[in-house]
Amino acid sequence: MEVEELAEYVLVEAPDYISDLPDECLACIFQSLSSRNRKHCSLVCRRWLRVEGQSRQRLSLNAHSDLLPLVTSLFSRFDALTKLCLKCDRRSVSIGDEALVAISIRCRNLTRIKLRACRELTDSGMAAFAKNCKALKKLSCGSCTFGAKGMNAILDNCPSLEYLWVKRLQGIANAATAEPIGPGLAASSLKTICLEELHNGQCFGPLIIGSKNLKSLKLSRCSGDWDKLLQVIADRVTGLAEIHLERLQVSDTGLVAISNCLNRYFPSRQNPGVY
Amino acid sequence: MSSSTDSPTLTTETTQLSPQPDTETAKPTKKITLKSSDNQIFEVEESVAMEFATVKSFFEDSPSTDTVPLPNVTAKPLSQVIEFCKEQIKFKANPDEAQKKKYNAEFVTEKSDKDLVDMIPVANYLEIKDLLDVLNQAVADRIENKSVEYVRSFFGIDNDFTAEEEAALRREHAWAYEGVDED
Repeated sequence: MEVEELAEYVLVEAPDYISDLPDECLACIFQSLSSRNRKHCSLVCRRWLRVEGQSRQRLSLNAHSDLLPLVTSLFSRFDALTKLCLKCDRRSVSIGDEALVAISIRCRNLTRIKLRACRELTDSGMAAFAKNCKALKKLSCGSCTFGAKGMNAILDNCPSLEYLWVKRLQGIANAATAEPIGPGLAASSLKTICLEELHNGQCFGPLIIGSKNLKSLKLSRCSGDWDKLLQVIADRVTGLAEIHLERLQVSDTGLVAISNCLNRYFPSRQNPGVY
Repeated sequence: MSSSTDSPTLTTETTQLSPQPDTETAKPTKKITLKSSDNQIFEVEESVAMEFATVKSFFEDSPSTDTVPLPNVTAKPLSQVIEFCKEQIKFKANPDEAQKKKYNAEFVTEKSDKDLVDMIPVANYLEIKDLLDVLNQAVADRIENKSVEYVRSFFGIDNDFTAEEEAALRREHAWAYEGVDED
């Protein structure tokens, strides 16, 4: 009843005054809306769809394998994205290299990418992505299965990378086959490195040691002995302002090395490991 | 009102009126004339007009002009924009963030949907960034958490999608996550 009344009122009274609004004004209104509300607005009419798509910088997508056929239409609509999140749930088959490469071709200005449980992505997909998205500043990947080659491709191709967050990267878990990671071009730009729940995370050693401008290092629940690496890090990475060690196997040797660096800030030190 | 020429009230009024601005502000304030597209004349103080970046640069280019034509702006939204800018100047002289916030909120609350939307292109054309931010947020607030149908009827926009196109778009939207990863 209320809806009917409203519709009638609108039909009689409301002129279409927003059509006179320039595109850039409409885009500014969209910028003040939440992601969900932007979605509603894009369905209002063709013009709003176009303006919303062109003015959107951030997108989060369900990275299920069935996304592939939609990549072309979705990413030609959103052609100004700078931040993208591809997130698959654990029980589903994720997008593969083909989809990631197709996305990277259409999103060459990406500065941030977040990958979650995209288990079908391989080193070669990551390498192609890295070549197309060289402006990347922030990479965050959790529960992915690609390995050192893919990670190195990112580090070699993205000279502006400032932030790297890696959690449960299964492709490096085998110490016998894993290659060292880094330093690559990104080593000079990286400011923050966070490694969580990695097996054989020590293969990031060359990257950490080579990152001369590193300000913050977080190592959490990464298995294996970190003493040796911490000694070298304390020695070589002189600008570190923050080191966060959590549930890590570190002995006095490693801690002494780190504590010898002045002006360090320890937000937390929980080391139930070997002392 | 009598039309007699020697009305005592009139003479006292004029003598009272003229010294008042002089005592309040030491120097006489310069007025600038703005002309809307529907040929209405607005006399505003220079300080108010300089809030409009477009008018400001107009004067920098041709300082001798006395009337600034605003061919893209009609009288009603212009008068509201002037009202807003007058207040902002007071806040510039006496900064009070809480009062300013309160004024800005009241300014948009009392406006009709049409008035709000009509002011946006004016604020955009005159390059008044503060007002533009306030207006965009106000319009966004009015359509926040509303259905597509509501937004269409709110703005009086016709749906020009075919049923198939709309269905396809809704399928695309099913792939987008909401309310996550806003960092």
